[in-house]
Amino acid sequence: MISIPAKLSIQTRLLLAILIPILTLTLLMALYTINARNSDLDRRLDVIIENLRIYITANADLALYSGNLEALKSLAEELSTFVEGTYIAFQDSHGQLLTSSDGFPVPKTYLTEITPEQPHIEGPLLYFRTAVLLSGIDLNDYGEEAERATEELAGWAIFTIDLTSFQQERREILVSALVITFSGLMAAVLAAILVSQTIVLPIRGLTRTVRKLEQGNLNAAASVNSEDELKVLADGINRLTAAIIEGRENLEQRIKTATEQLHETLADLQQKNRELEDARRQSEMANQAKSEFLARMSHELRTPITSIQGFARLLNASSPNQNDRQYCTVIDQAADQLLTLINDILDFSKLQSNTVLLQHQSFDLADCIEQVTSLFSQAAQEKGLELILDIAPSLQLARTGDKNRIRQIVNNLLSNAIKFTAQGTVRIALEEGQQDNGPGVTIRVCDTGIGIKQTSRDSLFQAFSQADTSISRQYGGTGLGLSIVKNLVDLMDGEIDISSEWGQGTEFVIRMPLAEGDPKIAWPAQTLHALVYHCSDQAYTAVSHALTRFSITSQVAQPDLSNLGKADLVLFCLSPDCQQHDDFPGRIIQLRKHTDCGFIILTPVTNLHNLFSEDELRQIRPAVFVPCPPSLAALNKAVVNATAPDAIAPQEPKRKPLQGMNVLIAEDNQFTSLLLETLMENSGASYITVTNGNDTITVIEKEPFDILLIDVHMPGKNGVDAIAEIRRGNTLNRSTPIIALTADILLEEEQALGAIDDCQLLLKPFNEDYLIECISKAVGLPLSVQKPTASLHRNTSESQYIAELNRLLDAAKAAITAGDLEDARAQTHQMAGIAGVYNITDLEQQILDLHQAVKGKDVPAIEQAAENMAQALAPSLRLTPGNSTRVSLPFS
Amino acid sequence: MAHRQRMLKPIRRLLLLMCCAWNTHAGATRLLLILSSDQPYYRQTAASLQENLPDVFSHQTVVNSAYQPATSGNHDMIVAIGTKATKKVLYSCPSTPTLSIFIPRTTFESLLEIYHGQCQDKTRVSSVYLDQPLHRFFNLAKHLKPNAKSLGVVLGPASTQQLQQLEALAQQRGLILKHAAITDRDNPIAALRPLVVKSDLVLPLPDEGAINRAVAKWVLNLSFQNKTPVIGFSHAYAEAGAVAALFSSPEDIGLSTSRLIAAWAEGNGRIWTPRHPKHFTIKTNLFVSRSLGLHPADLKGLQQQVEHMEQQP
Repeated sequence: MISIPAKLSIQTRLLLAILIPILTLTLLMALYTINARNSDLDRRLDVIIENLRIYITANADLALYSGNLEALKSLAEELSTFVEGTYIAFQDSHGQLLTSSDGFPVPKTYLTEITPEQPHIEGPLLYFRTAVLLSGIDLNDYGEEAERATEELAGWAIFTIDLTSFQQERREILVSALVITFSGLMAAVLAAILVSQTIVLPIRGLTRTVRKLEQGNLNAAASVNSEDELKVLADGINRLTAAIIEGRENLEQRIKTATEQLHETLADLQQKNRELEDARRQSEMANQAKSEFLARMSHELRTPITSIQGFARLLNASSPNQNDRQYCTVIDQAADQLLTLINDILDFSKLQSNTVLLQHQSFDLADCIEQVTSLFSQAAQEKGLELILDIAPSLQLARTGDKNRIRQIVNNLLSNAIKFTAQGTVRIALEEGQQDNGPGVTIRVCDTGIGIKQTSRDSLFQAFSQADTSISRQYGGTGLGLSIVKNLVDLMDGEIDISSEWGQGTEFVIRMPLAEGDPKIAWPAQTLHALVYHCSDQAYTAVSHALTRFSITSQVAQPDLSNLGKADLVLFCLSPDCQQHDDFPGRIIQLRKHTDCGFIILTPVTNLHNLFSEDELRQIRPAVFVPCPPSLAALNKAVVNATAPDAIAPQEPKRKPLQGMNVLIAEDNQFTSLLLETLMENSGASYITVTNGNDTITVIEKEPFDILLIDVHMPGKNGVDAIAEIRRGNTLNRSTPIIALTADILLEEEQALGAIDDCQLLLKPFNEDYLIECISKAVGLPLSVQKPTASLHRNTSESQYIAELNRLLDAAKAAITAGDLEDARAQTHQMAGIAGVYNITDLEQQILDLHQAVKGKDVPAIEQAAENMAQALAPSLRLTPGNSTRVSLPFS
Repeated sequence: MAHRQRMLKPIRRLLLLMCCAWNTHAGATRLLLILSSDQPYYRQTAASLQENLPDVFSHQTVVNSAYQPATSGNHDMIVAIGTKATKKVLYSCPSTPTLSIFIPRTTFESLLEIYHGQCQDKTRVSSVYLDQPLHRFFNLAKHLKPNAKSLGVVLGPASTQQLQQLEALAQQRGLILKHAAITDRDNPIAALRPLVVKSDLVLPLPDEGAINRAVAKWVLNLSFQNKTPVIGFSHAYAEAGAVAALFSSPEDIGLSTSRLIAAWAEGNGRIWTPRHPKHFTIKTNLFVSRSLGLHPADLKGLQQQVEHMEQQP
C-alpha cells in the first residue's frame, strides 16, 4: 500500500491523489494508442507485403516458368506504378536476375545470393523475397488418381518497399500521441490545481484564522465562500470563537469580581494578620510573662518550700516532742508533694512551649539509671517490692545524650511503677536497641501492679489524665508524669510502647537513639566464679548480667552445696520474699560453716539489725552487704572487698560524711543559707557563707574549697555568671566541683550550667541526704560514712525502728516480770519518745497505753498493753510499709 | 441421365430379384468388402454396390493393420475398394477370388505384377478401373463439337504408347489427331501453346508424367486465350474450366461392379477380365461453354448420346 508522507501539505497530497492516477492512465492510454497505431501500420505493411506476394505469385509464375521477360518487366512496372515506392525484381529458380523495375535499388549482393525470406531493412527501404511457385488446378476427384508432383519453384520475386512514409507516419503517431498526452496531462494538472485550490484555499484560510485565535486574536473570523463541509467548519469555528469570547468576557468578569473579592479578602487578611501579629506579640509577651512568672513563681515557691522543708527536718531532728516530730514529718511530706507538683507543672509547661533543648554530652548510662533506682530503692523496700535493675552485659554504657532528661523519664516511670504496684516486682532493664538512625538503647520498666485497662490507654499520655478517676483519688498525682515522659521521648526522636494487662502489670518500653560516647569506666577483668542464692529468677538474671560484665561466671547454688567448693564467692539476693519466708540468717550461717570464701549479701534493707542479730552478723562474717538494686560500681567494689584477703577487716570508726571538707555556701536566702550551714556542720564540714556572686568571686580567690554550693539566683552577679567566671579564671578553685542550687529551672540556666565542666545542678528544696551524696561523689569521697547526726532518727530505717521498739518492749517485759516498774517506766518512756517518728498511729497508741499502764502500776493493764503491743509489733518485725527516709547508705 | 436411371431402376431391381432368387436357390453369395479408408467416396462405392446387390450377403470392413487373410475364409469373393485395399489384399496372397475396383488401370497392373511375383498359390483377380476407355473421350469430343476437325491430345510418357490407338480412334471419327508430348525437362508452355492454337478441341489424357495441376491450368489458360474447348477427365477439371469432363462416379463404379458380380455369381466367368467401368458420367461447365460460344442445349444430351454410341456395336 502506497503511503503518502504526512509532512506534505494538503494541497500536495491532493494533487498527488489526483495526478498520479490521471498521469498513469494518460501514459497508459498514450502507450496503448501508439502501440495500437503502430500495430495498424505493421498490419498495413504486412497486408501490402502479403498482397504483393499473392499478386506476384498469381501473376508471375507463368512468366517466370516460361521465361517471358517482357511479361515480367511489364508486371514489375505495373506494380511500381500501382504501389508507390515499391520496386520488384525477378530471379529464376537458380537465382539468376531476370528483370527488375526501373531504378531498383537492391544491393548487388542481395541479388546474387539466395537469402532467406526474412524481411530486411536497410535505411528507409524494406527488402523481402518470396518464392514464386507454379500454381495449378486440382484435377483429381479422388485420391486414387496418379498426379505428378506440383508446387515447383518457378523463380523468386524481390520486393523493395520504401518505408519513408511509414516512418513518417510513425513519427506523426508518436508526436500526436505525445501532444495529446501532454495536453491531457496539462489539462489534468490545471484541473487538479483548480480543484485543490477550491479545497485548500478555504482550509488555509481556516488555518490562519485558527492561528490568529491561538495567538489571542479572537476578532478573527473564518469565511468560506462555498456551501460545503468547509462552510460548516468555518461556521463552527466562528460559533466556537463567539463562545470563547463570551466565555472569556464572563471569565474576565468573574476574575474581576474575584479579584475585587480577593482584594477585599486580602485587606481583611492583612487586617487579620496585623491582629494576629498583635495577638502573637501579645501571646509571646504573655508567654514570656508566663515563663517569667513560672520562673519567678518557681523560685518564689521553691525558696519558702526549701525553708519549710529544711527547718521542718531540723525541727524534726532536734525536737524532743513526739507530736512536733510527727507534725514536722507531715510538713515535710506535704512540702515534698508540693515540690513534685511544681516540678511537674514546670516541666510540662516547658515541654508545651517547646523551650526544652536537649543536652548532648557523654555520660554513663548505668550511673544515670542507678541514681534513679537508688532514690526509689527505699520506697520499694518499704512497700515490700523487689526493685531490679538488669543491665545487659554487652550494652555499651558510655552514651551521648541528655542524661538529665533520661533520668527524668525513668524517674517518672519508676515512680508510677512503685506507686501502682502493691506487691511483686518492679524491674528496669537496659538493652541495646538499634534505631533507624543509629545505635540506641531500649529501656524497659515492668511492674506487677494494677495494670492499665485497654480503654484507658489512648488517654494515658494526655496531660492531667490518669487511667481512671478512681486512680487519682486512690493514688494521688497530677497526671502529668506520663505526658512529660511522652513529650521527652518524642523530643529525643524515640518511641514509647506500652503493654499491660489489667490486674497483671504494665511494661513500658522506650527506644531512644543514643549515640555511643567515650567509655570512661573500664571494669577490671576478674576471673572468678560465683554462686548465687536467690529467691527470684529475675534478680538472679540481673546479678549474673552484672557479674558477666566483670568477667565473673555465675551459677545457681545447689541446695546440697555440691557446687560450693568451686566458688570464689557467694552472693545472696535477699529479696522481700526471701526475707519473709526463708530462714535466711540460719541458712547463711549454716553455709558459712562449709566455706571461707567471701559473702556478698544483696539486700534492700538498710539496717542490717532488722535482718540479722549481732550474733548472726558475727557468725556470717566475713561478708559484704550491698543495697538492692546494686549499682555496678558498688557490686564491683563488693567483689573486690569480698575476694581480697584483708577485705573483711573490722569496720572503721564511724565518721561524718563530709568530715574535714571545706565548703563554700553562696546563698542569698538566709533560711536556705542557715539550712545548708546546719547541714554542713552536722556533716563535719567547715564552711564559709557569702550572699552574692561578687563575694563569691572574692572568696574563692583567697581560699581553696573542696566543693562550691552556689545559688543560681543571687543579687548582683548571679550564680551562673559567677560559676562561668570561676571556670574561666585562674583562681585556686578553678577546678573545684560545683553544685548549683536553684529553685527554678529556666532553660537558659540549664544550658549555661550544662556547658560547664564538673558542675551539677540541684533543685531546691534539696534532699539533704542526696545533697550529701552528690557532694561525696563530686569530691570522690566513699559513701560508707555515717549519716549526719542532725537527723539521727532518719538515719534509721523503719525496720530498725521496729527492732528498737521490740528490744525496748522485751526490756520492759523483763523489768515488769522482775517487778521493777521504774525500769519498765524508763523503757516505755524511751518507746514513747520514738513512737511518733514514723507516724504509726496504732503502734504509737499501743506505746502510749503501755506507758500509761506502767505509770499507773496497773499490772493486769500492763500485761494486756504489753500483749497488745507485742501483737502490733509482730507483723512489723518483718517489713512494715510506712513513711521512709531518703537516706540510702550502703552497708560495708 | 438421372431420368434414364430412374427408368432402369425397376429393371435392375427385377434383375437383382431374379439373381437373388437364383442365389437363394444356389446358396447366398458372401462378399467381403474391404475399403481403403473411411473416405466418403469409398463408402459411396460400397453403398452403391450393396444397394445394387441387395440379396448378396456382404461384410464391410475398412482395411487396417488388423486385417488378416484368414478373415476372408468364409467369403466367396473379396472386393477391394481402392489402391490401398487392393495392395493389402493382394500382398496377403488370398485364396479367395478377388475383385479390385476404384483403382487406376496402371496402378492395378503394377500391383498385379507384384502379386504374381510374390504369391505361389494364385487365385483369380480382376478389376473395374477408375479411368475411362479412350474411345469414350473421342465419342464425347464428336458430340461436343460435331464440326471439329482436329483434336489435340496432350501426351505424357505413358500415354505416348497409345498414340497409334489414338490416331485410329480419331480417324474413325473423322478427326485429325494433333498431339504434344510433355516431359519433366521440357517447358510445357512451348509444347502446349501450338497444340492449342492448332486444335479445335484439346484432350489432356491422364498421365502422371505429363499432366499435373500446373499443366492442366496452362492448358485451360491457353484454351481460354484461343477459344479452344478442353475435355477433362474428372469432375474437378470441369469445375476448373473444362467445357466437359468424362468420369465414373462412385455410384457408377458400384453399379458397374454389381453387374459384374451378379454375372460372376451366375457363373459365366466374365468378370475375370479387368475392364473399364461400364457406367460413367459427363459433367459440363455451362459458363465455359457460354464463353466459348457453344450452345447450352447441345450439352444436355451429351450423356445419352455418348451412352448411345457405347451401345452401338
